Parts: sequence; C-alpha cells; structure tokens
Amino acid sequence: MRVSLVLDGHDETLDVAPGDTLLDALRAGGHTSVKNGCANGDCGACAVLVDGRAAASCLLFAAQAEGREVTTVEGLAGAHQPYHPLQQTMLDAGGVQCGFCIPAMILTAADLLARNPDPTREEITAYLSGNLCRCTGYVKQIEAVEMAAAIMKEGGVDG
Amino acid sequence: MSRPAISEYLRPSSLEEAWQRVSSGDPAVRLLSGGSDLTISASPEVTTLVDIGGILDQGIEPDEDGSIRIGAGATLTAVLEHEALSSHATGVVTEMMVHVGNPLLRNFATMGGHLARGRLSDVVPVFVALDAEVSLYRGSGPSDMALARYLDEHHNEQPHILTGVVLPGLPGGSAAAFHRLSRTAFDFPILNVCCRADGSAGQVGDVRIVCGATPRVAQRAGKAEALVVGAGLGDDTIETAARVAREEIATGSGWVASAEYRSHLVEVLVARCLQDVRERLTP
Repeated sequence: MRVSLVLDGHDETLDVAPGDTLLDALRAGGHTSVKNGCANGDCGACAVLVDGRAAASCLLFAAQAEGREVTTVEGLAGAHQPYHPLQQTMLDAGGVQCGFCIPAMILTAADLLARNPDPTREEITAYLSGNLCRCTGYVKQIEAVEMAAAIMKEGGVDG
Repeated sequence: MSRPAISEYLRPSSLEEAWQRVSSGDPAVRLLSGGSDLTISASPEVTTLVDIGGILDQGIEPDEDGSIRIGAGATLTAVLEHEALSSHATGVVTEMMVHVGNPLLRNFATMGGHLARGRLSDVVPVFVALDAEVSLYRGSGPSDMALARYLDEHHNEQPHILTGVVLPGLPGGSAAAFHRLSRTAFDFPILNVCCRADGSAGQVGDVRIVCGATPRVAQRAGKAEALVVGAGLGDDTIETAARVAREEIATGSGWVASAEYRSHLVEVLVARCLQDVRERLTP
C-alpha cells in the first residue's frame, strides 16, 4: 500500500506493507537516524515527530502516517542550518557519547520546547523519561536542553 | 518477538463503515486507534486492521453538571494536559497519568484504545473510582454502561466500538488520591490503588477503594468501603480499612510479584491513599 506524507518537509509517498511499522518504513527509505533499539516501545531510540509530537515510531504502523507531517532529526534543522539549536547544544554540552540515542532525544526535546519554551530541569527530565541512554547519566543532555531553551528564547527561535 | 501478519489495512470514513468490518466478530479483524499496543502485542491471527483513529472523537468536554466527556480518540497526553481534568476530584487523573508510560507513548496512545484493551492499567482503577461510564457503538446510537461493568462483563464481548468515556460530576469537596508501585518509574505497576471520598474527613459520605494490577485490572474493596462510609478518616479507621482491603482483595502471583507481596501492597497503598484523601478533604 502507499502512504503519502510530508517527510522532513518534503511531500513523499512510501510503499509499505500493511503491517510495517513507521520505524520499518523510515529505515527502509534510508532514514537511518531513526534507530532500531528495542522495537518494543521501551527505549525511545526510534522517536520521530509526528505532527510535531514525539512518538515511538516502532509503535505506529506506517499507514498511520498517512497525511501527517513526520520529522526525523535529518529534517529538524529547517531554517536553522546547519544545526537546530538542540543539535548544537548537544554537541557543546558534551551530551553525545556513542550517539545512538541522540537523534531521538533531540526530537523529544524539540517537542518539549515547542510547547514549553522555559522548562524546569524536572520537566526536562520527565519529558525525556522515555529516551534511554546507556552511556551517560543524562546530566549533559539535560544541560543541553536547558542551553537550547535559553538560546531559542533569546533568539526568538521557534521549536 | 512475533508481530501480527497484517495483510489488510482499512481506513473507514465513518463509524458505520467501521462497524460493517467488525460486526461479524471475526477474530482476524482488529480495531486500531493509537496503535501503540497492536504493533507489538496483537494476536498472530490478526490479519486486518481497521484504523478508526481518524474518525473517533478526540475532544475533552467539561459539562455544566461537573461531568467531563473524553472522546475515545483523545490521547493520554491530551488527558494529562487538560485543565478541567487537572482539577476534577482534586486532580487525581493528572496525578495518575504522569505515571502512564512516557511522553512517546502518551502522545499517541488513545483513551479508547487504552480502555478497550482491558489490561494492566493505571488509568482503570482511577476511572472506576470516579464512577466512569463508557459509551459503546454497536451499529446504532451509543449505549452507556459503567466502566467497571464493561470490564467485568462486556470487554470480551465482540463486537463493539468504544467511542468515549464520561467522568460524572462529583459532589463538591470530593477528594481522591492515587498510589502505585513499580520496579521502575516507566514500568507497569506491580500494584496500584485509587481512593475517592465525598463529604468531609470528619464524616465521609460515599467512598471508593479500588485496587488494580492485582493482577486483575481493577477490584473494588467493598467491605473496606463500608467501614469508611459514615465514619471519620481517623488513623484507626484507615488502618482497619486497609487491613480489610488486604483480606478481601484477591491477588495473584506473576513474574513481577508474588500474591503475598501484592497483598501486602494493598494494605500499604490503601492506607497511603486514604491518608492523602483525608488531607485533601475539608476537616
């Protein structure tokens, strides 16, 4: 079956099987920033934005993306080339070690900042609770979100 | 992990059209709303998905009588963030919902899908304690029934489409509290409890004491409730009610906890909930 959607800002049509997950379809289409961690809804490494909200793409059927706007980290920067503030601050804060969880964590944080431009540390921690990282203690990543929030607020940057 | 071998994916444009596909009760056909459960736990015999996510009501509508109607298509995040729900019964729905999964799940899991799956849940004990009623569609106008009855008697009755849930208005001054225990914050509960009381801490009117994940999805502790009704929520009453709840709530063993441990938790969590309710009621 064919699924028409806006993927990273571009109109696209995916050719998928009815039982394919969105994770399956995105990776098959070359969007390998969407990581296949547990494929079970536990690790959050496959998170993407669907109509602006973070979602575990392993728990959505690809067909559910019909008519929706899906954003991977590859399309997040948009007008903020080369990097979205969250991508830059994740580097600046030293939040990246192996990097496997980072694309999804950045997208989840982007969802948070779009709705809550000035989150507390507790709110950031709670919103990232579904994004597991096996390398770090999350401290640097949370600091990165705080830094990005400050930059985006100062610069009037939309999420 | 086995995944369903889906060969057909349908997007009906109306409830009537969806009903035509599910009314036969064919076990190979499953309704889909948020999707979060079906991708990983649908039975291997399921071959056809009927996606009703786009046609379910996604609204959350407070009424003048204090009731709140939640469309089956409303996401758990929408429920968590809704202002009217944050103040209903001293905010117990919000207090509970922050523990359900995480944002990546709550953003797309729907209330209808969550209730219709009828499994391990933090939502169900709270909604049962709030006397929630569900609306079911069976080819004609919706029929309403108590959520507790739906789960006990009708959940496995095929076919039906759950279209919404209503939390009735409560007497002024009602208070509720929720407690759960799980191995990690993200994990399913080992046990959860919701208590709700009307009246005052000095003289309780109606009361609900509901235990979930026992592992049954929700059980009311009727004998413990009877002890509390008309009494004050003093330490002795709370202690006795919690002990009686432990005696009357049937628990089972599973890979996360033994029946004995769950029974212990019933007593502890009921006591904590009633203590919180006492604090939230007028003296």
